Amino acid sequence: MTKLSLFLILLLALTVTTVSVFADDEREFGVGENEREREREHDDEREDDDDDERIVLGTGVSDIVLYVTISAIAGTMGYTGYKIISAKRPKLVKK
Amino acid sequence: MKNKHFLLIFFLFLVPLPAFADDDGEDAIEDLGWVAIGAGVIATVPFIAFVKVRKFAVKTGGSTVQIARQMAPAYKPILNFHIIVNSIGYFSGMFHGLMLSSNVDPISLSLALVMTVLMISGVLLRYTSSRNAKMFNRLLHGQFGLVILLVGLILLHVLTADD
Repeated sequence: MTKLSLFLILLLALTVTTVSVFADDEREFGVGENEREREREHDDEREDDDDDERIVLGTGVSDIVLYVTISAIAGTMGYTGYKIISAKRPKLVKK
Repeated sequence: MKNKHFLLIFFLFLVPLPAFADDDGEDAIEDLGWVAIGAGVIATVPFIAFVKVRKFAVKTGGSTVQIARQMAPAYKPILNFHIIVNSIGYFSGMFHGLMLSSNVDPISLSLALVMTVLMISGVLLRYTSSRNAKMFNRLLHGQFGLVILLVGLILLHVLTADD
């Protein structure tokens, strides 16, 4: 058996072991199911409230911050490039 | 000797891990943001102070030039510290942003953009060999305006982020 196949078998074994970690959750229906449903609905409502308070992309003053940042980055890059080009260009001598 | 350096760098990258020691997942992600801010301050303030003091010593002339000469060997270790700790801060910040990407807002997006521009210019400045690229990245990385923008965005982000 080559080292590679040994490594692959070990990797496969490790991958299979991790599957069982995810398998035992969410399967215990029956006792307390209604309570869990109610909790889930309550959490959803709370998330909806949070969504209303959040600053969303494409709205309001905070968008200006993004536009200013993008322009500042573009401006700085342009200015830096211009500085390098202007420093390299030979100056014309007046006759 | 190189192995020692590798180990040190490896352990430095583990520094943000205690953030996950918190019991609440949201708190851990929030802590990653604070790790990013802390790493940025620790990595940048001493480096800028060192460079400014050295420049000042050279400009003043006289006996201070000797001090500048004595400071020269410390430049490389301080630069490496600046690069490593800032990289840790950058990746912590990016993971913090990615894990909270459902709450993305224009300020966070702007912060991520400025951080990325500064990080890429810093990496290129250190590892590129082309003269033009080095000059471009040196000017871009040292732009005072970008630093001010970064600090302003961090403050705005901290003030506006949800609890």
